[in-house]
Amino acid sequence: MTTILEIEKLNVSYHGTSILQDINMKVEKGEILGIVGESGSGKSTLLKAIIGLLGDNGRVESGRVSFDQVDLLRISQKELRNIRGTQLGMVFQNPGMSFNPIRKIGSQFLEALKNHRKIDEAQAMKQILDMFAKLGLGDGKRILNSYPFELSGGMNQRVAIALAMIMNPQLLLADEPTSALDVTVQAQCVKEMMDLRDHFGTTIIIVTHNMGVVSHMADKVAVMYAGDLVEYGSKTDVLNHPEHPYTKALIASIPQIGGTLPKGIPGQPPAFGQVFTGCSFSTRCHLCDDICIHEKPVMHNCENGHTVFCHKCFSEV
Amino acid sequence: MSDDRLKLKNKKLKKDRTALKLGFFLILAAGLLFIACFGEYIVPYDPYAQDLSNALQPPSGSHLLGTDRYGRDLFSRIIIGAQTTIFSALALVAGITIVGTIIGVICGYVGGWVDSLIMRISDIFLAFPEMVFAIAIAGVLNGGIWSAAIAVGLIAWPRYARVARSQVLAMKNHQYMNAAKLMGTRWYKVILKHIMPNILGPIIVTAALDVGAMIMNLAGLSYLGLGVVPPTPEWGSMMSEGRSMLQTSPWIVLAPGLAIFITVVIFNLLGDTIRDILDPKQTRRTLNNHVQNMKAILSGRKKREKTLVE
Repeated sequence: MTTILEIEKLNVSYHGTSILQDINMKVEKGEILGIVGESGSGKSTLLKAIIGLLGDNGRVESGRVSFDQVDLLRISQKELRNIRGTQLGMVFQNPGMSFNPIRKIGSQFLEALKNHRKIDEAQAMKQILDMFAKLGLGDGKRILNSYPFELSGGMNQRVAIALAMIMNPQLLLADEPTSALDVTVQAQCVKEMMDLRDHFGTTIIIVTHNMGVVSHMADKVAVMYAGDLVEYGSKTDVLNHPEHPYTKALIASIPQIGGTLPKGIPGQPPAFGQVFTGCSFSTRCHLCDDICIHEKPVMHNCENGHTVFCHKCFSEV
Repeated sequence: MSDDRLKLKNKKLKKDRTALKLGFFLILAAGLLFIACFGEYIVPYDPYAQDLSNALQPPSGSHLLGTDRYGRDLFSRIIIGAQTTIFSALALVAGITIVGTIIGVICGYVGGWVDSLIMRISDIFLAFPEMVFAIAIAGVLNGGIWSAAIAVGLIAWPRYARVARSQVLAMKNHQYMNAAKLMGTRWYKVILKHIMPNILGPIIVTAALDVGAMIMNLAGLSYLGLGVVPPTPEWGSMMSEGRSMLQTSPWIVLAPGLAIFITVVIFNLLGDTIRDILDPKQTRRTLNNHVQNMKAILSGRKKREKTLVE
């Protein structure tokens, strides 16, 4: 397996307030990585930093994001433009928000194709309909002739996935692609994304709140809390044998049909910009100790590349 | 008939009426443009021909609007004057719309220090009282209709730039802008295909509402002698020429004044109708609203007077 994306010591801030601290991550080719965590833990910011969409407020303070041996943070706008679309694709949270509301979907697909090569319309149409067929979207001509508001939310999201995939990128970033959809459509979208990997060998990084989606799709799982990566490893390791107290609490708070009310995590996630000298989860952790408050946890390796950032859990292994 | 259906019918009626209004005012505006274009073939007299024996004639069958102090036919002069007034106003609005929009889009899209610099410059232009500033600029330039147009244009562009800029800033936060960039779309295509179509409505509305005001501004400058140079007929300067004879021969002032009034009203109502169609969210300025406002202002003033007396 070759590494397609490597993130090293990535620090990102908004207006000087640190959002991501020293994120290290490696994604292998053809792998699906699920990133989970509470709202505000920096999951979406991480995706935006990778693809260079932090906007005017966000700034990468330090670190490296190398994609296929290319450092995405240090290439020119022109090189970045060439990589975007052809090798990197992204799906956003709100279905339909990926499309300009006053232009037909067909013209936006055409634009995406024409951005990177000369292609005549008939050929382009054929390619788009092919992609629709692969994703199980019937009636492609009607979709292309519609405006975004004429399609349902679920349909929009599936079309958005098709748009992100039209240039057959190697890496697809999905920012909570299923959060705004109902459960049956969620299942469909998840299946489609997994089909993509099987068809095209696409590497996928998916950010989500939905542990069900992660446990179904992902090969590797990364858990984030307050801008820190707290646990990383294969799906079975992280979800079945969680080491970090936060991961344990997160899994305990999944609601179950017929079960009792989920436990929830006591306390609040840290406020925007709150600085910790020790572990960022210390204020809500039942294992919290003096060392947790005063010292940053270092990385502990369990087996199979399963890593945890915690002072406490290592003793239990 | 149920309430809902009644509402629906009313809505449809309203829509129909707006369309009808648009058609009506478009025809009137087209009529004005026709007069402006083909005035030379309509006029009964040569607008420049002096006939001192016929000077200061009141309106009559042979001279519909009377004659001025050199005996020139006012009706002919007003029709020829339409050309100068209307075309220069339309050209001016088109010019500042294009320039202002380009500046605003650049500010909004590029942001950063470019945006700050240009916006501070526009603040400087906005800080002066409009007409005083225009008079100063027109005075410095050579005079003539073009220097008047430049003067009015210089005071008017910041508004367009601001409208365009705020629209672009609002657009920039939309996800599909990011999506377009992520597809590898070039910056000029993002502007032309994604931003421009979305922001055109408010800009057209601003421009349509401005035509009347521009006619007034240009006529105003000409009235002060800073616009058109005599003997070229222009409504503002024609009023100015007649003002010393307002008591003895009021038609010299009233005729071009009426022409300005009618033209401005037509273009303003056309602009209002366009606004109603392109920007339906804005409340319409109905007569009722005006009456309500006046009542509120008057009652407020009465109350204040009362408290003062007490």
